[in-house]
Amino acid sequence: MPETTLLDWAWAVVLYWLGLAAASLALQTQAGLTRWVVFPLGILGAAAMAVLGALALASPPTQFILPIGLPELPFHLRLDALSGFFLILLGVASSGVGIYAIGYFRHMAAGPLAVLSLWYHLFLAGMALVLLADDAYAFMVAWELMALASYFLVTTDHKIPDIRRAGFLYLLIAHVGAVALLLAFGVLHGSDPARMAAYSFDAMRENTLNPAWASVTFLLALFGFGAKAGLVPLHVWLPEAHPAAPSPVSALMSGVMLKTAIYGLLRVSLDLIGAPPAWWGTVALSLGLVTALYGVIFAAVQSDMKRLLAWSSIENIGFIIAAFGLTLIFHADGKGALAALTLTALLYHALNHALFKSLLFVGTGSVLHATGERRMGRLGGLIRFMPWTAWLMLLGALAIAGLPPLNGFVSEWLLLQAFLLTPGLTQPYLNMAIPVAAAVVVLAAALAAYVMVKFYGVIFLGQPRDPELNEAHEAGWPERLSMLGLAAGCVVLGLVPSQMIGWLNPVVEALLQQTLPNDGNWLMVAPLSAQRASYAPLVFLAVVSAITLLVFFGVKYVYHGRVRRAAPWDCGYPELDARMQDSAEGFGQPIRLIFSAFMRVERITPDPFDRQPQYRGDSRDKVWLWLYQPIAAAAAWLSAQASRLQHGRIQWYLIYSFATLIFLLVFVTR
Amino acid sequence: MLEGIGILSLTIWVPIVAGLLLLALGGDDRRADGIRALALIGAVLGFLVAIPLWTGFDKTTHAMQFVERMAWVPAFNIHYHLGVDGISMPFVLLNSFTTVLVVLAGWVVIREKVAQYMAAFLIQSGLLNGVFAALDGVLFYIFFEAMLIPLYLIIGVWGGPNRVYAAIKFFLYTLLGSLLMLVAVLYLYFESGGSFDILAWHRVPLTLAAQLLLFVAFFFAFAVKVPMWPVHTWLPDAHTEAPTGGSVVLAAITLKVGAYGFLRFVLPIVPDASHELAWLMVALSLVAIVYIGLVALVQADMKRLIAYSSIAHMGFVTLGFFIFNPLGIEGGLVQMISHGFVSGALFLCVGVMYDRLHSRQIADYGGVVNTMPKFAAFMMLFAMANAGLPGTSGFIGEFMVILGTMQVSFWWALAAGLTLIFGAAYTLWMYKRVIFGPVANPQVAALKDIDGREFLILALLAVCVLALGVYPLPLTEVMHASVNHLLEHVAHSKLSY
Repeated sequence: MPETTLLDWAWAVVLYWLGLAAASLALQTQAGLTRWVVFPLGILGAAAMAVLGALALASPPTQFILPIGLPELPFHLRLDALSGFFLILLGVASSGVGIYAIGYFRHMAAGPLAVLSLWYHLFLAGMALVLLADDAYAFMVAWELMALASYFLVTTDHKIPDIRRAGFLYLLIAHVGAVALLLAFGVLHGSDPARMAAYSFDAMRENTLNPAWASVTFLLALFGFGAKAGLVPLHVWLPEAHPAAPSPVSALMSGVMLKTAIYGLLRVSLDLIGAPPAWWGTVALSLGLVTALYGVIFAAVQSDMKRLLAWSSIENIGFIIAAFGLTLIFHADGKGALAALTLTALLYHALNHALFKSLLFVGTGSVLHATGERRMGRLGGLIRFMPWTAWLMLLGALAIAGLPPLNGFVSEWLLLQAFLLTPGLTQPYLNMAIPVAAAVVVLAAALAAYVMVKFYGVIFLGQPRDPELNEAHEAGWPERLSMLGLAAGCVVLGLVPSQMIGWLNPVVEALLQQTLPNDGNWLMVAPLSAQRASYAPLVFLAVVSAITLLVFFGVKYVYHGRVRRAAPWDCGYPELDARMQDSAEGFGQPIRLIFSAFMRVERITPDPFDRQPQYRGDSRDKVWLWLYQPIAAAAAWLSAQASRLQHGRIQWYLIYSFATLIFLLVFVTR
Repeated sequence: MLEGIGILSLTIWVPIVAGLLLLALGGDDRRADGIRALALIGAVLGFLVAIPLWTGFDKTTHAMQFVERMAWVPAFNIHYHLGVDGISMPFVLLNSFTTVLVVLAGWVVIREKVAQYMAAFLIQSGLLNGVFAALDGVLFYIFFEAMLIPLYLIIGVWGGPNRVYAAIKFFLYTLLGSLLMLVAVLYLYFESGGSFDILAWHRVPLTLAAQLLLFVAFFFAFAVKVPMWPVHTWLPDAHTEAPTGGSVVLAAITLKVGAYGFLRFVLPIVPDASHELAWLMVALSLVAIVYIGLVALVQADMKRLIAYSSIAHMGFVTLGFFIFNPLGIEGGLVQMISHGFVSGALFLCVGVMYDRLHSRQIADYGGVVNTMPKFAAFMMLFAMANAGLPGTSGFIGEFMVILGTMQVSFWWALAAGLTLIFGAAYTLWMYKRVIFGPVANPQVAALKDIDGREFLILALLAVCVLALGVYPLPLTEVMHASVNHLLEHVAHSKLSY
C-alpha cells in the first residue's frame, strides 16, 4: 500500500464535494439542513483544499491514474506547485463565499435551494478537477462540468427572460472556447498521435512541437481560455452573466472561475508547450492591455453595480493577461529574473483579485438584499444603515483601486516595477512598445481608482436617493463574517508581501526554472535590487497610522482642545437634497465623452417642459454591434438559404439524388 | 454453438416469432393489455438471448464469432451464414435493447391496432439483427430490404397527418439505393467465382475501375440510409411523421445500418476506391456537419430539429471512417452507439411531451421545468449529450474523431469542431425555449410529470449515456481487434494481387 499523497487527499475533497452535491438532492424539503449542514461541510472541504494547496507548493509533484476514462487514456491527475497555488485561491475564496451563502440564501425555498446547492458543489468540484487534471480528456470533462454547473447557477432565476438570455450567451461562448481548447489539445499531442495515450499531459510535455504547430496551439489556447477569462472581444458574456447570477455565484465565477482560465494558459504555454517565442508574449500583452483599458472604460460608465464589477473583472483579467504576455517576452529574451518578477505579479494579482472581487460581489449581494435595487441611481447613503457592509466594502474598494497598504497595490506595483526595470530587449520594436504598455497600465490603474470612487461614493455615501432606503437593514452575521474574512485577507496579503513572494517562488521556479532573488528581508520588498525600488507596507502603515493619530490628537489637544461641528457649506442652496448629488451617469460622463468612439450611447433626456421628466442613459458595447450581431445575422441568413433546399417536393429531392449519382458516375469513369 | 440453433439465430427469430404470434392473436384492441404484456415478454426475451453475445465474446480475435453456416439455396451457393465480430456485435445488443424501450414507450399511447404495432417493431428488430449478423450477400440483401417493410408500415399507419407522403418518400429513397446494391452483389458473385460469402468478397481482387463502380453502387445503398448529404432529405419527413417508437428505431438503429454497410462492404471490398474517393466522403461528411447544423438552427419543430441533428452526428461517423486511422473508426463506432442512445432518448422525450400536449412545435412550450421537473432533468442530460458535452457518451466519439481527423488535416478537424458549436447552439437553444422560463400557457401549466414507466425508460437510457461517457473501455475493447484488422486490410491494395 503506497503512502497517501497530497493528491489523494485533494481527490478525496473533490469526491466529498460531489457527495455533498448528491446529498443536496436528497434534501429537497429541508432548507435548514442544506444551509446549516451541507454548505458548512462544503466550506470545510474548501478550507482543506486551501491547506492541501499550500502544502503542495513545497512538495514535489504527485500523480495518479483513475481507472475510468477513455481506452488508453484513463483519467490522469497531478498535483504540483502551480495547481497547488490555484487550489489555495479556490479554497480561500470559496471558504469566504460559502459562509456568505449560508446567510444569503436564507429566504430561498427548500426545492430551489437544493438544486442550487447541487450545482454549487458540482461547480467547486469541477473547478478543482480542472486544476488537477493531467490529460486532455479529464481536463475537458472538468472544464465542461465547471461551465455547465456555472450555467445552471447563473440561470437560478430562469423565469426572467434577460437571465435566460444571459445564461444562453454564456454557455454558447463557453462552448466555442471549449472547442478551441479541444482543437488545441488535438494539435498538442504526444509523439504517437494515433494512440489515445498521446493525449496525456505527460506525453505532451515530452513531445516537442515544431514552432508553427506550437504557435497554432498557443493561439487556440489563448482563444479558448480567453473566452472563459473574458478577453476582449470574447468578453461579451461576462457583463451579462455576472449580474444575472446570485451574488455568491458571481463572486465565485469572477473570483475563482476566471482564474482557472489563467491557470490553463500558464499550464499550456509554459508547462506543456514550453519554450514560447517572444511574439506570443506580444500578442498576449497587446490583448491584455486592450482588455484592461476596455474593461475599465466600460466600468466607468455603468449604472448597475454588479455590471460595473463585472467590467472591472474584465479589466483585472486584462492586467493579468498583460503580465502573462510580459512574462513570455522576458522569458523568451532570456531575462529570467524579470520573467520571474512578472509571473510573481501575475499570481499575486490573481489571488488578490479573488479576494477583493469576491468581497465586493458579496457586498453588492447584501445591498441588493437590503434594498432590492441594483441600479446605483436609486441607492446612496447606505453607510448609515449598513455600517458593517459599508466599511468592509471600503477596504475592498481601496484594495481594488490599488491603494497601499492593501494587497491590490502590491501586485500592481510589482507589475509596474517590471515595466520600469525593463532593460534593453533584443527586439527594438518591443523596446519601443514597453513604455507605451506601461503608460496604458498606469492609465487603467488610475481609471480603476476613479471607478471605485464612483462605485463606493454613489452607493454608500451622500444621501439616500430613494426614501425607501431608510428601511435598508444590515446584513446578517454570516454575511458579515464572510466579508470580514475576505477583507482581512486583503489586508494581510497587503502587509506581508515578502512572505507571499517567498511562497510563490516554487510556482515560479516550476514554470520558469528561475526564482526571484530573495534577500531574506521580511520587512522590505525589493524586487531585483534595493537600489532601484523597494516597498515596505508595514512601515507605510505605521507612518500613515502615526500621522493620522498625531493629527487627531494634535487637533484634539492642541487646537483649542475641541472639535466644532457645523452643517457643511451648501453653496447658497438652503436645502441640499439627494437630487443634487452626483449620479452614477453623471460621474461617468467625462469618460463617456472621451471614449465615446467605443460606445453606443442610448439616452432619454427630458425637455424642460416635460410634466414627468425622465432620464435614462445606457452605454452599449460596440463589440456586440460590430462583431456578434453580424455573426448572428450571417448565421441566420445562411440558415435561411440552407433551408431553401428543403422545400418538401419529392421530385426535387429525387433530382438531387440522380444528380449525385450522375456526378459520381462521371467522376469515376473519367 | 448450441445444438441445432445458435445464439445469433435466436436473436433474429425470437422477436420475429413473437411478432408473428402477436399478429395471429391480435386484431381485437379490447385485449390490448394482454397483447402489450406479450410484446414486452417477446422483446425482453429477444434482449436476454442476445446477452451471451456480450458475455461470451472473445475480445482478442478479429475473427467472426458465434458463426452459423448451412446451405440454403445450393444451386446458387447461397448460405444461411451468420456471425459477428467486434464491429457488428454491439449493434445487435443495441437493437435488442432499444426494442424493449420502444415496446414500453408505446404502452399507453398506442390504442389502435396494438397487436400490429407491437408486431411490426418485434419483426423489425429481428430483421435488423439479421442485417448485422448476415455474412452471406443474399441473406444480407434480404434482411436489408425486408426491414424497410415494418418501418414503412409504422410510418404509414401510425404516423402523423402527413404520413403517406413521408412513407412513400422514405420507400422511394431507400429503394433507389437498394437496387444499385443488388447489381453490385451480383457482380461480386460472378467476380468471386460464384460465391455470396461476404468474407470471401473481402479477398477478391478487383481492378480500380471495377472498384470505383462498386463504390458508387454501395455508396447509394448506404449513403441514403446514413443519411449523407445530399441524399438525406427523406429523414426529417420520416422522423416528423413517424410515431415516437418509429422515430426511436429509425434514429437509433436504422441509420446505423448505412454506416455499418460502409465498414462491412465498402472499406474491405473496394479499399483502393475507398482511398481514391475518401476526399469525397470527407467533403460530404463535413458538408453534412456544417450545412445541417445551419438548417437545424432554424427548425421550429422539435422532431425535425433532432432529425437534422442526427444527420450532422452521422456525418461525424462517416468522417471518422474515411480518415483510415483507429481513432477515427473506433470514434465513429462509439459515436454510432452513443447516438443510438442519445437520439433515441431525445425522440422519447419529445414523445413524452407530445403525448401530453399533442404538439411538437417549440413555440407551444416554455417553462416545462415548472410542471415537469424530473422530466426536465432527464431531457437536460440528453440535450447535453447531444451537444457533445464531456462526461456524456456524446463527447467520446466526437473527441476521438476530431483527434483522429487532426492527424490528417487540421482544417478538417477545425470544420468538424464547428459542429460541436452548432450542436450546442441548436440543442441548447431548443432546450432553453422549451424547458426554461415561466409557464408559457395553460396547457403547459396542466402538464403532469413523467410516470413510473416513462421514468424507467429514460433512466435506463440516462445510465447508458453516463456510463459510456465516463467508462467507454468495455465497448472499445470489444471493437479493438476487429477495427485494427479492418485497417490492416484496407491498407493493402487489391490492385497488386
